[in-house]
Amino acid sequence: MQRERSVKVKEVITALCRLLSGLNVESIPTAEAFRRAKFDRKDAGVDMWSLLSSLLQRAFAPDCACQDSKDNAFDTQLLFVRSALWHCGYGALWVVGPQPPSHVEEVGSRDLLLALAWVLSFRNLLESLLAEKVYQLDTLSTTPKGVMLGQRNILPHGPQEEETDAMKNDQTLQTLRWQYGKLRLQWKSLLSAQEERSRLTHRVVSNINASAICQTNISGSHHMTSTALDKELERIQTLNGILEAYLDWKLHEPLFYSWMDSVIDSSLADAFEVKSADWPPGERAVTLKCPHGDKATRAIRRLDKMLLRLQTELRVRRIERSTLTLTSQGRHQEVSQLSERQRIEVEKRVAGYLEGIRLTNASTITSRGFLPCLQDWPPAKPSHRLQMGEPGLTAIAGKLQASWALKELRDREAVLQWQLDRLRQNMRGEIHKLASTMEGVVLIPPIKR
Amino acid sequence: MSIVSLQVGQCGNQIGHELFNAISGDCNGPNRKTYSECSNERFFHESPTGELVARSVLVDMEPKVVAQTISKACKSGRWRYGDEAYFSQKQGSGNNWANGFCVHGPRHKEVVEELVRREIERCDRLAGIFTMMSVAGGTGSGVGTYITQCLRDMYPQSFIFNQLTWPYGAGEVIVQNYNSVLTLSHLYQLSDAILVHENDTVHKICSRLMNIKHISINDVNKVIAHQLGSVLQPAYTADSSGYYSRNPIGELLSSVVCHPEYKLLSLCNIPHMSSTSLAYSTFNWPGLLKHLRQMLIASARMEEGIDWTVSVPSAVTSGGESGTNSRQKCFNVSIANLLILRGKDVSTAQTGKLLSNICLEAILKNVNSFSAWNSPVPFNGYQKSATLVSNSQSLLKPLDNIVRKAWDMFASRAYLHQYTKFGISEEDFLDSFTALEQIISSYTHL
Repeated sequence: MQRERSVKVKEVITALCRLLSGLNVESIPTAEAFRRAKFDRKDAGVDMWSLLSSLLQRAFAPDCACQDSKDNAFDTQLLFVRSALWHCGYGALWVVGPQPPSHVEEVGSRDLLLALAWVLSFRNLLESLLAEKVYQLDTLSTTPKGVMLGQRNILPHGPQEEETDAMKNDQTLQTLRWQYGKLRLQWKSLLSAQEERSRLTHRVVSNINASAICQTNISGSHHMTSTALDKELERIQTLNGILEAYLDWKLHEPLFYSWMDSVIDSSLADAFEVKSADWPPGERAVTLKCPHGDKATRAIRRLDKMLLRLQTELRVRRIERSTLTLTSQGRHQEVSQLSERQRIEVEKRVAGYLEGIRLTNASTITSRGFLPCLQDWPPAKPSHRLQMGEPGLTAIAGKLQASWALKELRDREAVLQWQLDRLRQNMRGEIHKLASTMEGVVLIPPIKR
Repeated sequence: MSIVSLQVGQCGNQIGHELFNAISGDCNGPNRKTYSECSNERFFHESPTGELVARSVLVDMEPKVVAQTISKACKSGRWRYGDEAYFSQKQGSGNNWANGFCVHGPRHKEVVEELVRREIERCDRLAGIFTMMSVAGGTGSGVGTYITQCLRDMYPQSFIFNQLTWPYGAGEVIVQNYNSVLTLSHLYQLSDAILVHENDTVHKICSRLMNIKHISINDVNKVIAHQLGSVLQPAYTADSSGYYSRNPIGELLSSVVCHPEYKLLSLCNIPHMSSTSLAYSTFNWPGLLKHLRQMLIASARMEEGIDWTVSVPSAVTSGGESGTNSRQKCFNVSIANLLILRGKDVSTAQTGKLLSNICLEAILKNVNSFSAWNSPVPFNGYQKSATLVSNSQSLLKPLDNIVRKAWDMFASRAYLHQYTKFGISEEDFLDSFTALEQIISSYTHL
């Protein structure tokens, strides 16, 4: 089992390496280097470093002026990598900490591996590199003319002055609907053109391959066809190779990130053993402190207070009511009847309000954007997934755990659903009321399929 | 790039056959190699023995028409239908939409879907699915609607283009208006565009223009096929830059039916005449275009009896106040038009000047609502011919008639049990009426 898994990991990493080399990223290490980096081996450091820096070079080359920082200029390279990582939102200590490493070797290979995984999942980096590469290779992928032509009327001309606003709005709306419909139709056309192209390309390539095999099989008497055709073939094959590598990688991507989970686990385990004597307690986490943490704790505190107040109020009311029933025994029947009728409704309303209050406050925790951070102490079951957009934080010290956030969101969804249902029911009642007052009007719901 | 056709019911099968006949006949002739290659790729595939096989699926609930159609096609010698591209049953739908939609459709769903899928997979590129059917009977309307619904689910990204034949107003089938209402209301949500032929109009074309004494259903179908062919045959479009368009249905739709509330298309075509007088007639483009323009604005469906007094209201052209009251009563407001010219010297035809300013329309002021295609190859024996696909108010009156008649019957609950017994409830009827009223109101308030 274990062995099978490790074989799988090797396959996954090889797929990644193949894709990266297809995308012209330089100095790609072997899969073995990745494995060694997982265990923070010193010897993998250089490999991982050069991969990370060349990947970042590829990604940010158009944006940055610093070039040729290869060779010995490790300082500039270090600066570049750190700022690029910072730009990607990666907040490990060696990137943003107060004491930056003065030399590359001070950064552990595992840290580099983690950073690499982060960069890979950052804003579809691979996809944009792939698109760039495909654009270079694919001579046919020009913007279709039809779309450009069709859009020539998209800008409305100057509106007539004497028209009323309502007219103008209506016209603009209708024009928009027309243009939107046109776009949809053109999108469908493009889609079918794309399908046709891939089908034809497939046919051409398979024919070429077959004939090439035939030619080599028959004899050398046939000269190879013109060099232009060869070049074309080569181009198409490279393109295919890259696209295949990408598909392969996409297939394996989840495995890669689950492997990265295990890397994080081992990193956390190690960190626990070492126990952070070097770091001051405030900076124990390998992370940036979450900027919303304080707000979250404050919100929780406020919520607690409010809950307490409401509970006391409720208790007071209950006592009042019980005394009331006691004192007015004669009207007991009536009161209880009234309460029976209204109690459910009142309770519902109160519950709704409570939920609302809870949500408006609690939502501040989940609805704000959180910076993901890595932790230093070992949780029982770490749930980090770099791949996911917003990994959870532990509830302790104002941080959220993914599962917790999920639960929270699910609760919220249920409440909102409930509120929606209630609102819908109200609306329906109102519509019925309205409709009954209007004579000769039959309201018919929209047609169902 | 190919169009997969679907012929449903008696009417659909007959029209389909005439369409393929017209197209295959049109491709034989001098100086039209590219044209016929393109046309053949569009409508036919080649069998291993080199015969042209129509990219078409035939569906009917009776065996007779399908068998006739297939054997007729075989006899033509130029083309045939696919060996297994048909599906027929024994008992028919009894002119009942509910029977077709609720019983036959679901029962034979898989078989028909499989037939269509096979045709579609044979295409390098699917330009669209073109369905031909009538709205009066039970099979074409009911089963056709059901199949369209299935195809929409199967191919959400493909173009689905429906050709409907509307029955004679005088009545072919007692429940034709029920069937029409149910078909139209459903198709309006499923199809990308609905192209309508009215039997009454086509019949008039046959009697007055083509001088046919005893008009048979075949003559009517031939005219419809001619009109369809003149739209669907290869042509140069604005986007095709010197080649025959590879996306005919897509371009057709994106020039006339972009707005989801306006999907009804009508067709008019000039000239129509008997083959004997055709030999002695000459046409010039300005004359044809002038006629066509007047036909459009006066909503005449044929060359004869055009009301020449109708003109484009000045209030609309000047772009001043644009209210319905300032318009002439008979002026036919259109949203968008597509002009297709076929024949000699087509490049000399001045289309823009004549037709660009007639589609002024209050709602869609800033939309380019006129496009033109052309092809130098004469179509179907006519040296010059012009076709106009228009999304306009011209179908408003017949549609209103259908809905009104159906509503009158519905109000007295006539024949309703025939539908409820198959599972179409009164509420379904009401929903359909509402949907059609909505369409009528949209077109009225242009």
